[in-house]
Amino acid sequence: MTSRQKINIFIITACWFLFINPVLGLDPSRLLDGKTFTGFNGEKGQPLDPDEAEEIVFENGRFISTTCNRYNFSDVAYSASQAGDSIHFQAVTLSPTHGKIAWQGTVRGDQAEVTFVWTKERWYWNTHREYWFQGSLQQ
Amino acid sequence: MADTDQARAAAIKYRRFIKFLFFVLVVLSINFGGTWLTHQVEFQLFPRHDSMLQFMVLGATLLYVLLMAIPFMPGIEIGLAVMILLGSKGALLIYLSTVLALSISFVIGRMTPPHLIKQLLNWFHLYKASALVAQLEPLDQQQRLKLLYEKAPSKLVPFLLRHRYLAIVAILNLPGNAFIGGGGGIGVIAGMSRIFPFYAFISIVAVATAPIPLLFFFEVI
Repeated sequence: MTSRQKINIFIITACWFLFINPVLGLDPSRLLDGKTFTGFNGEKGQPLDPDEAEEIVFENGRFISTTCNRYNFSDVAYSASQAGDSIHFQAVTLSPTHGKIAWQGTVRGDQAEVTFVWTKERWYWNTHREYWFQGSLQQ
Repeated sequence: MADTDQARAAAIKYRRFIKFLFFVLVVLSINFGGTWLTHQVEFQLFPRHDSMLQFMVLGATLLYVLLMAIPFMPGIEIGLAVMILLGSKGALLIYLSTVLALSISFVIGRMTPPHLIKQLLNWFHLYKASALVAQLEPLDQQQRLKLLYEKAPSKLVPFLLRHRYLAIVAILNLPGNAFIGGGGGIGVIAGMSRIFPFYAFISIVAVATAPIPLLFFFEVI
């Protein structure tokens, strides 16, 4: 193989990973990239709390909740999969001060329905509370 | 004369009316206050409330220690409520708090002159607890200890007097111990008796108060 051929193969491979692969949707972690949903959170079994405005952001294969970010829950890589006209995603955000939140949600069109569980372990007491979020795509 | 009687009757009626009105106002206040409090407690909890939750747990625990250390106060009920609220892990917190509370009551009994304890309890309107201290004041060491065992079945008393450490374990777990002031009362009496060294009392309390928290901790109950 000549040097010229090697360079061509390298360019084609690089183009595949940079442009074609994401467009074909073969990277499941990026199905929701560029989308931001705004809405409200509520405890499971309770109505959405109007004082608990939430914004969930998908960017560069990472997920972040802006409300929880204030409590040191940083952004994390999310996983997503397509099922019919819906996209299911999962993520687990961690905070050094407030524990862990496990997120699980479905995006259908411009609507997102998410359930999440906040857990925090202490030597004398474990917090385990379940919540839900409903939001629409920010245009 | 008749006019004076009528005026007196009218005054009595007026006083009754005022008392009745006051009673209705108290009932209504409790009702509205209770509804407001329930509404406040039922608000949704999010991670942003974490500090407040911890503060509430700490407050309830301090209240428990305080109530448990004072004779005739319903400490154990608060302890059970906190354990139910916090789940199995809360049993460890309540257990440590119980040992701390009983140690405090023991130290109060040991260090404070009885007349000061009496004054303090009277100041808090805890007349029953104050009467208990007054009852103990003139007694000698053995008599003070004997008072502890009076509520135990009579057949057991000689045995308890011979095995005073075992006796404390038994009395602390005896359902009728509320009559001698509950855990706080037992701690104060044991401290006042000067029969038990502090380290021995702590060890006894650590063993005697362990069963219920252990059952909670291992989720048996």
